[in-house]
Amino acid sequence: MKANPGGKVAPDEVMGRDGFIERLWSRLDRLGIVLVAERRMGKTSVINKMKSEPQRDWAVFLSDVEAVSHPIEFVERLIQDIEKHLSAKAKAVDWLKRLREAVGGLEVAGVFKLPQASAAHWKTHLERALGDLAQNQRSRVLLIWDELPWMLQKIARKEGQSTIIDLLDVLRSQRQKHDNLRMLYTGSIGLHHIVSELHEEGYASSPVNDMLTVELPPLDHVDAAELAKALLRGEQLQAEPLDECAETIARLVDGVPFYVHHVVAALADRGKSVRPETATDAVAQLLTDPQDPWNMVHYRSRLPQYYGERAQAVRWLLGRLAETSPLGLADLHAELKVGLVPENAACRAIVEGDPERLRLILSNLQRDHYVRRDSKGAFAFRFELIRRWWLLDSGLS
Amino acid sequence: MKACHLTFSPSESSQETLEQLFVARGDLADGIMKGIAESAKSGNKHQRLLIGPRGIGKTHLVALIYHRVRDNPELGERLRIAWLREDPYVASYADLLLEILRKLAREYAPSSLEAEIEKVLDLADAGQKEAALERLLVDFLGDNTLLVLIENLDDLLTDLKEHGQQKLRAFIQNQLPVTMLATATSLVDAVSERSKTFYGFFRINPVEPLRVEEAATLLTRLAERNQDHDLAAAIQSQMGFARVRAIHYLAGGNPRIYVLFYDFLSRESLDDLAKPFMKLMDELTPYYQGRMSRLSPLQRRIIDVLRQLRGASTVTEISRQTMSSPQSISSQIGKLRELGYLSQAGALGRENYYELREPLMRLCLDVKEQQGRSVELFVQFLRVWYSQPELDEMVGFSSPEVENEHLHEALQRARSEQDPLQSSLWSESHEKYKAGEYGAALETLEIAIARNPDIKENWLLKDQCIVGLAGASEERMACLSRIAEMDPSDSSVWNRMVHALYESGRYTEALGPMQKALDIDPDDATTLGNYGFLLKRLSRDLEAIRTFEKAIELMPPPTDALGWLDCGRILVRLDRQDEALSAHRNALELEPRLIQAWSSLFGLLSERGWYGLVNRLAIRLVDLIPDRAILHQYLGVSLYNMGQCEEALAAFESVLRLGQQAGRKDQIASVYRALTLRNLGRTSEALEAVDHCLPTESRNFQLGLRLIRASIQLYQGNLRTAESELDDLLEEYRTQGLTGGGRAIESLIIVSSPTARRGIISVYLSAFGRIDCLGVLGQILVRSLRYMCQPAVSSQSAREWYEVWRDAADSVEEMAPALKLAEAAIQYRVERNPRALLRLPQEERGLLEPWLVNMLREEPSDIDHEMDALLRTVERRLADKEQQKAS
Repeated sequence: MKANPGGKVAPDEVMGRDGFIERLWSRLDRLGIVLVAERRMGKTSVINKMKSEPQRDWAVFLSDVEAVSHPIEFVERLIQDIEKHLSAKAKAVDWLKRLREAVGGLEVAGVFKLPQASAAHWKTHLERALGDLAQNQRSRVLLIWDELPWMLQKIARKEGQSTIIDLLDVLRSQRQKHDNLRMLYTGSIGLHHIVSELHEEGYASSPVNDMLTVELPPLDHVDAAELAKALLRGEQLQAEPLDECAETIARLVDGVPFYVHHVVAALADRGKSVRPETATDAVAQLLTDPQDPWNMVHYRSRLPQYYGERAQAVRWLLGRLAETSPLGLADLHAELKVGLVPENAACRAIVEGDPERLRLILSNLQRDHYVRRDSKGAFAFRFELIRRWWLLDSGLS
Repeated sequence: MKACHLTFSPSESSQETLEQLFVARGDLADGIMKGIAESAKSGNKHQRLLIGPRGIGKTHLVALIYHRVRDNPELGERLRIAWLREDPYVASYADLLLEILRKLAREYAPSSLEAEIEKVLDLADAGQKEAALERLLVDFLGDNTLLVLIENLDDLLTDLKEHGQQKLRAFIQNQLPVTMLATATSLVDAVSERSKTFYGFFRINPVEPLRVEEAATLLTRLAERNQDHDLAAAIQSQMGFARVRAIHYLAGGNPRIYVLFYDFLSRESLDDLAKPFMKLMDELTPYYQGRMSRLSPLQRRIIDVLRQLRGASTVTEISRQTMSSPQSISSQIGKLRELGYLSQAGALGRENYYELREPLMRLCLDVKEQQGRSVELFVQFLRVWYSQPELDEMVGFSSPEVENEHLHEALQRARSEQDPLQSSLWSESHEKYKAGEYGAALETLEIAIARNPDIKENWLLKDQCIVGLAGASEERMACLSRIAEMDPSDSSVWNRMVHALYESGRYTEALGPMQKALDIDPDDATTLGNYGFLLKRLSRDLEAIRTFEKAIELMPPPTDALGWLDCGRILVRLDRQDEALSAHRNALELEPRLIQAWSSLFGLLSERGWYGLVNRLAIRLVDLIPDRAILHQYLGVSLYNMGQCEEALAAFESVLRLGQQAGRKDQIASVYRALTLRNLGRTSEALEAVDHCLPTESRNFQLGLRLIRASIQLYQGNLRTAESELDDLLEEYRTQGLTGGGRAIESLIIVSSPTARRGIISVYLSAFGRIDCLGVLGQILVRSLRYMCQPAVSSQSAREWYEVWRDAADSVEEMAPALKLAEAAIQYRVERNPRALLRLPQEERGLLEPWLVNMLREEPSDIDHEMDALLRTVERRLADKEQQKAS
């Protein structure tokens, strides 16, 4: 296998995810799942593998919905996906034909389309489509929607936030109505940001609280090292000693497969010979490259967007945790009081108020994959790679 | 211009042409092909993005990949290729799908596809069209993978907007088996921002500018393609390569520019670069104007301000000149950097300095602004600059470059000889040799050879003793021929012959034994390294570089000090300075007494301006290894370079004294002693010292001595005599193409009092003017800045020195570029303000900055720390050895 940073990995070549996928199937037995992870962690590879190698008695429908900007397109896409999935199964055609007629769809140049006039009835059509699918499938049905948050953002921009509340509510009601229907939501941005925005706008709905949130972790060290080894071999690099080189790469990038591919690709671009030190150099160079090929600066620059006026306090917290960790909530709060001169009222409230505000921020930082909590409840950077970058970028290293 | 290669549209060129003119990116092309092959044969799909400014060769690479894939039956069967060439004018996602389908229809011409496309175009609803086009594409591909070659992906993604980008990505994720090879001039947010659609989607490879030797290869291949074999040979020559280097400085590694220069490399114009260069700039102006027209008005204004300011400038200054806010200038500069128009020249405090990335762009625009004459003069200056080979050859730190690398091995082998008397004689002579007593060693060896003339190791050591005594090359050749008779299969002997002939300047003759060594082991890295050095001396620069590259490639990881030294020397020649420094350090840590490694290291450090560091190392080394006279010489040279003449003189006299005791002729120390005496104003002694230097076989060396003699006469005020001598010398220098004597010429102009200097400068201006070589004088003036900028030379003296030159040469047009560089260097020397250098345009700054900054650095740098660590290791190793010896 060749290093392929960013490219599509064939499902049968996805390494180190079998156990995780096994656990997902087991959880899907009972509940739907919101699959979350930092971007490029390998979510798409996992869902592709689930689609390609489903467990017995599961029919899997997978769709990337980032281009969808209206609920009626979502319905259209759903019916297209059902058609694609069932095309070889003649028995299903009858109910599908009835469904198509019921929603008023047409086939244009071989593609199922819904007329614009049906846009107003998207809720009914969606309920019908999901209901028919659930009822006509003997097996259990798993609907995987990739990039769902992007779709929701687009619909919200175009149709308003109430529409996405409606959409999420319909999906939730159908999940509850049909025992054999499971859904898996995932995407490049966290669904919690969309839901938080809804709450801030005063919507009380909790459209995913019946689903389990599961975070896709990096690869285990052993698996990441195996992946690195396979890629070093695939690129025909002379890595000496191979095991040590592979383990070095795996360790330096916290087992994130995307970075493993990147580092091996960078080594392949440099030449044929690899030593553990050259791997270390390659990572250091990628982290300090002025072009910032991994766009690490995003971890800093997105803070104002994610945390608004509280961004100053968040930067301080991350700087402190980059230098010393783990630190408990009380310690962090005490240090924050001494170390931060607040620039605005929001930060002043965090510094001077009770630790609850700080706890909420840290909780969001956990969901945004910046920090993790250890068994004693103390906080530390989630990824060593990002901590290292933070130190370098802040001039603290 | 000849239409030998479609410079601006390689996409139209034949595969044969593309392959023939493809240089430097072979590994990248192979990597891309492997990714495409894997995408065709498996579920893994690779996406590659090539980034680089216009003209850097992206389209050439894409075109080449296209042909290679088409040529491969297995890939051809599994892939369907759609090549979206430059400017496909895609306005929407549906347009993109349509464009891909049309390319496929044209490429594979299935009768039905065009008809299906037409049917889709009849659909009224845009959404229906998109869906139908997607379906058409998926159906057409069947089980095949689509290979899309996209040029200007940055423009395409910008045109698609976020919604279109998301549709494309969703289509790829949901249905489309695709592998892409795309190009872009810069990274757009859609690709580089973590929150955007195509973040992390592509494996990104920058397409690097060509290095100078790669540019020469490209031009040679172009000549070969045009069947102009004479021109191909001329490019490989020293003069041709010098021309390519000069162009390289201006073109910034842009292959498109080199190809444009092709015509000017013809033999007819080989001696005059400036005129055809100006003509080319006229022709290039529309190209640069075209690039300017793609920019917004404010971006164009920024470019123009930087052109007018010539040097690097800050956001504050640019915003003042453009009368715009610093925020908007800062944002536009970011965009211009991404687009490859600007680069950051440096940073002072919190302020960054920016400049135009391609010097040629500024020069081109300058010509239009009636500043053409200064451009022409600078080009002329560059030509001379790069035509002049290494200036430190004659009396610098140089030592034999061709190493008798197998000597140590031979010596060790010799220890196991059977004859006890022979062993004893050999050991005795070897001990004497190691102590530097070469004459005594030779006497003992002669006894051993008389006893048994067939022992190879005795002859090998004899040869080494002759080297130590600076004996004649004939003497060495006789000795080595005897060894070759005994063992003609030993390539090290032939290498030694090369060394002997090389050292006496008999480079062409050296090719004979060189060939013998290569015949025995054509892949031996050391032999190849020696061949490289020889080629360099024969002015076959390009071949030399290729040979060095091959040597480095074949060289096994060094395991001993000599191996590291070989490696280091070759890396120096390949201009891989940091690696070279590490290799030297490794060599010396393993063998602190390896004098050649110190010599080579000092040469490397001096070239980069680390005179103070060299001096510090030399002082310590003389202490640590007091028995090696050569170290005193290095100390002397370092003191001389730093302008500390009294101390330098003492060091050279120590060398000569030690040499006398050992029966050795120390020619280089003698020459330096003469130069130092002259600099101290002890001119009669200086003349006497020159006259006492023994004649050698090297014509370069002889020429150097005569130049020094002339300089002393000038210093004494014998202007007439000196002028006449100088005329003869310079004529000989010019007509016979001698390459040595650089340091001697340089030394002509660095000393003497301001009053005397005025007269001397007039003599130089007349003498160099008469032979039409004022450019050479300018180059020597710039070279001599290395001396005048030393901290030991007072600010006042340095300034006076410059002012005398300026007053005398101000009206001499050909001297203008050199005077400008001298002014900046002296200003930097006096004020230590980096702005003095940043004010120079980058192609001029590049001639000073690499050494000047190091020379005047006050704070210890990483290299200082590295060398301190080396010294500590050396001290420890030497102490250990002493202890072992004692016990």
